[in-house]
Amino acid sequence: MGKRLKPLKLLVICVPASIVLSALIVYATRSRFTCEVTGIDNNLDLDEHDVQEGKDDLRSNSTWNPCTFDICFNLEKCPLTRPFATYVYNDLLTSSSNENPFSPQLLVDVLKETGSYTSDPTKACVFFSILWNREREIENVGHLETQIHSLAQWGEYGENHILVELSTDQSPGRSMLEGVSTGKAIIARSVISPAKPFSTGFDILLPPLRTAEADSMDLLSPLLPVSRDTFIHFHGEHSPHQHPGSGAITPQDIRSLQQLLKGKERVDIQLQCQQPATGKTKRAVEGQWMLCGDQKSRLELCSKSMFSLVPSPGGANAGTGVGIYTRLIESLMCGSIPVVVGVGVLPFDEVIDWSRAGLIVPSGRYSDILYILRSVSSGDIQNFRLKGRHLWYTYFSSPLRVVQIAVAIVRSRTLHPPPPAPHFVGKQLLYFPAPHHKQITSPSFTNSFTAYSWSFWNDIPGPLFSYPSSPFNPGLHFSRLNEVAISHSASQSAKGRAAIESTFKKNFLVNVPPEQFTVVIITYKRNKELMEGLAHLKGIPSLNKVVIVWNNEDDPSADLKWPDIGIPIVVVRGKGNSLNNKFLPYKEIETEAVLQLDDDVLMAPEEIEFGFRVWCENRERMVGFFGRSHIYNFKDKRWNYGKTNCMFSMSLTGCTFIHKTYMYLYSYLMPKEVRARVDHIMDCEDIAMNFLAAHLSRKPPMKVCTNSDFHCAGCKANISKKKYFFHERSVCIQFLTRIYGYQPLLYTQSRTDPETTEIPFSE
Amino acid sequence: MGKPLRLLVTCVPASIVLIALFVYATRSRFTGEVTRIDNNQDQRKVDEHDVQEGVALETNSIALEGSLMVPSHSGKDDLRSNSTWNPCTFDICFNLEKCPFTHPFATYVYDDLLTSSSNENPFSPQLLVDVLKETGSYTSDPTKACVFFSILWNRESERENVGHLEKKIHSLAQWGAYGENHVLVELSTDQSPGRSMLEGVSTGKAIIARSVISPAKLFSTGFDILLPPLRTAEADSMDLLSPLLPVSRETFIHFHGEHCPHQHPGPGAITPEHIRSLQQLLKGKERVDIQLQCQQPATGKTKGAKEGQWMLCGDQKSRLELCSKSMFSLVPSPGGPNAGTGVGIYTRLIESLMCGSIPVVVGVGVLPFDEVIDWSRAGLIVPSGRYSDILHILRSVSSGDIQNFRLKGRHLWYTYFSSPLRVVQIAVAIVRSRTLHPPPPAPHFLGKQLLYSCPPPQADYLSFLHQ
Repeated sequence: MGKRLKPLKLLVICVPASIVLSALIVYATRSRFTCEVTGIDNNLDLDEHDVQEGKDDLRSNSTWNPCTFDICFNLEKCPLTRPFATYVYNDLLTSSSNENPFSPQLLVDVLKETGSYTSDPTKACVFFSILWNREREIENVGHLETQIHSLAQWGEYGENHILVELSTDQSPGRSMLEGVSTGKAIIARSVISPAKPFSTGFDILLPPLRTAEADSMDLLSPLLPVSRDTFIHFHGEHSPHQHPGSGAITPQDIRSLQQLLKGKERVDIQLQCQQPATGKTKRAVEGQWMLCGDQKSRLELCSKSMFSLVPSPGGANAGTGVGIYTRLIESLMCGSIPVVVGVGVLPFDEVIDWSRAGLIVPSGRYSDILYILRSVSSGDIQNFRLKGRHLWYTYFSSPLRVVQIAVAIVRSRTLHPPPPAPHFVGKQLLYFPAPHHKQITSPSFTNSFTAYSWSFWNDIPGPLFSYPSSPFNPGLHFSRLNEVAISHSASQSAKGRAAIESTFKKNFLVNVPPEQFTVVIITYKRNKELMEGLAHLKGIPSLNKVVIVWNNEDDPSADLKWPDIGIPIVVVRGKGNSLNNKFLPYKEIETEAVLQLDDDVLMAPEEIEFGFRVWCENRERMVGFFGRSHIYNFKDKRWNYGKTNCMFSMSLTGCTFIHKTYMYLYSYLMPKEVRARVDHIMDCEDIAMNFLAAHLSRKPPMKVCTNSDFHCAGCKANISKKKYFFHERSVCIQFLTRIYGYQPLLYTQSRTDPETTEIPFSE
Repeated sequence: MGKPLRLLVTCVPASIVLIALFVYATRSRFTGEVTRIDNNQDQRKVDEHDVQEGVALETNSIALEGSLMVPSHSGKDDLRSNSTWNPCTFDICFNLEKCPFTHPFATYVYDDLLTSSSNENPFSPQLLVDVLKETGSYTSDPTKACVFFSILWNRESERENVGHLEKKIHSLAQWGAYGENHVLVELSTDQSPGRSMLEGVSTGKAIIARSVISPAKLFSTGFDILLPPLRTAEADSMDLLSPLLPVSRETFIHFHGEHCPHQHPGPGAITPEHIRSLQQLLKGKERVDIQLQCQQPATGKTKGAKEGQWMLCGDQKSRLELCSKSMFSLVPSPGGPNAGTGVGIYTRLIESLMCGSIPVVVGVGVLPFDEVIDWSRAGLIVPSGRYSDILHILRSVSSGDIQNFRLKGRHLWYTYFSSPLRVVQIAVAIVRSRTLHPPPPAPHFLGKQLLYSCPPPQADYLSFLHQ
């Protein structure tokens, strides 16, 4: 029996022991093999901990130096459910003065317009504080740190704060923030120095400013002709230094370039300023190239040159000092292509692609500079100048714009979409609904969080707004077919039609929704013609709505007999009695396509429908029925307006399809001088729109064939029959050419005819 | 009478000699002349490589004119001390004197791998040499080369030889004192450990092209190149790609991975908690395919796996099959100051481009080739602080956006990531672009002329037309 007990004893001991052992093993290796973690009760809020978990690391200075966006910015204050809100501290960190009248209040006004401003600091995502980099403020640097740290929302590290340090070309070559502890704040400034290094991707490099006002477009030089008097140009005076950093361009280097080009090309190089050199203060940084004279004289000089040299002072943080950036921006203004040698950081280069506006050359390539310059073709030069002008206009044309862009850059980092371009809310005078009409509105703002891209920042229309839709972004587009087109096909029975539609969709993978267009008619005291024109719009399948812009000071009288066309009609007021009202982006327009119609134009419904379908295939162009042209008068050396038989370059907006985005761009992006001129002479709004469309799309308008003639023979006299009609429009063309810097209109000889052969669908 | 004559006889030749010496000494400084190039062949080569039409006639004269002085690198003394060129930038650490425009851009590839080859990774430098020869970028003469490529494999079995590695690198034939103009290419696969082989190895001024970044071997943005991980030496077949349409797919978002836990998650880390909460949030609203435990053994679970990494499940074929059924793919960051360590992330990213599932990259700092690729057009790049709003962002992506993402993703895969050769070609191209050499011209085809009946029309072709 003792023998039997032994195995039992073993069993009694071993089994629990092994159970315990195996439990221990499982427990110990659990996290290694199953990686389980306790469950979570609270869904959404817990996700925000991912920033908190690393907090212990963040307290020690070294982990967040250099700062990156992930480490140093607190996104909890910027939820996507609220609009992106900024708060601007009222007082400048440095004292204001008459020289630099830029005040924070200007910025607040601009931000309010875009809906990005909040006066409640607890609701704000970022906090802006502005200071001026000025010579006499340098003595107060000690104060500066205490002032910064005592900002109301600074907290411990100044998270989500942006210190904007504005410099002019009179500013000293050093940053005011050297030696000042700025914590986790983003610093937006124009001057970088080794004592205050620049955190790439976090800090923002601003261009230097001149005054608080926007630079006038009169300062710009025309983009053409391509060739200019001098080949390359450089005026500057060097501040000598003992130990030039690597990559410095010294006066020797420039003199050798001058020698090399002697007798081959005309150069304009001066290494000693005739007028006193700008920026030659006692704080000028060694190695800097100082500017000569004032902006006006510099622009005049560089407008005669094809290339402008922008040399680096060398050193670890190549690019110190405002001289370089002033040179760069001024070369964009005068159309002289900047040749930037050895400069590490350029303004806003986190978003701007500078290589499309100039030649960015590493300093080691200076020896081959002639080779590079000689290889730039005329096409390249034109592209550089066009892009340079676009960049200047979008990013650098005024101090307000500069700070707006800084706001936009920070906003893009938080992934907030850009604010929507404001549509125009006019006073609605009348509204006639059509209850039986099937309305199809176009989808809007379909790329809220996918808007930011290289093209968004560098191409038109620019980074300040998002538009409901864009004519330039087709995606994987298939042919857009109207369902209505299918229903007009052979079979008349409902069943047959449905069968054809489904077969068509199955075979052609048509997954793009059908669309309609809106008619916009501007009218002034011509009620009889208006009613007749409206009646003519009956029976167009793709018509969504008719918007009548009422320029008449008096409201429409009650005894007007509005026709019933089965389509909703809205009568709305613009801004006063202005022809620009034609192109305001009315809130009532809910489609991408807009047909601009004059009140006296009578077109057949088939022609309009066909014109719309042509537009669907050419969304970035103006598609119209009546063409006009611009002609160069060699005797007087200027452009004239006219009508030619064989080719045309403009489409009269008396009957033209355009994309709604062009109306936004006309009203907000186009230089205001143009709209002012249209108001002044009560004419030329159609020429202005043609210039805009040609400039943005670089394509001529499309002409759809029609049997009608433009002018209504038996109608009362209208604007177009004024005496000096052609002369005035010619003057318009010359004015617009000067504004754009070149002649953007393009000729075309082709015309669209409808395909009339019927092709029956096979099942 | 003898004295002035004697003076004359001595002074005039002396002054002539002096003047001649003076002119000779300052000649190169002020006139920039360089001796003419006699060899016509070099001239012709220069002509062939000239892509710009506007300069055709000028090329010869420019080559002869020679160049200006290179801006004085009198800061050279600074360069000897380690601190001034750390971190490296192109201006400081690359010597452009070896890469003049008068010669085509030439690369030299060291024959031997720095680490030993094996059957698993049959990628050999010879393949690279062949490809470079096709584009005319290769030279077998190291003295004519602009850039020197040396390849090493990041493999588990090589970890023990790290001490050797530094010696091997420093004894490369053209290394010199600092390895200027060298590119060390460290190839990793998804089997590679999570650490770079070059940790702790002094690499001087060489550009490092690699797939794994770690705090111990910092990544110099704009100088180093981040490569995607490779699978084998062969190109991935186009059969593996999924169709771009239809837009909608069965599952909304997809993620299979196993987390390697860590004690101190860095800022911005995405932990299993976060992914589980996303799963909870989407329950009942959208179909998700989230698995935080690999059914098949997790790839990359070697002893070198870094804490916090998300390991891949299964093999490439099974992963592609899974993700091709999903509209979005989550690519989460392991957190930490160099967020983006480990090949798991980049493999996930590239595979999502292949299967057309849009990558949602959360909190990853550096992406492959992101100095040239605009990743925001191929996927959603989201900072880690925005993870809480991820649903909002995903829901707002329209069909048009999805189509664009997929098109662009496929294009990027095909152009940049479809084979290891292509990956290294792109690295060469990136370095070439920094030196401002133009890309090589696309080769036209020279067929064998069989018949040549009449001579081509000459300058009076127009008059011929008007006859």
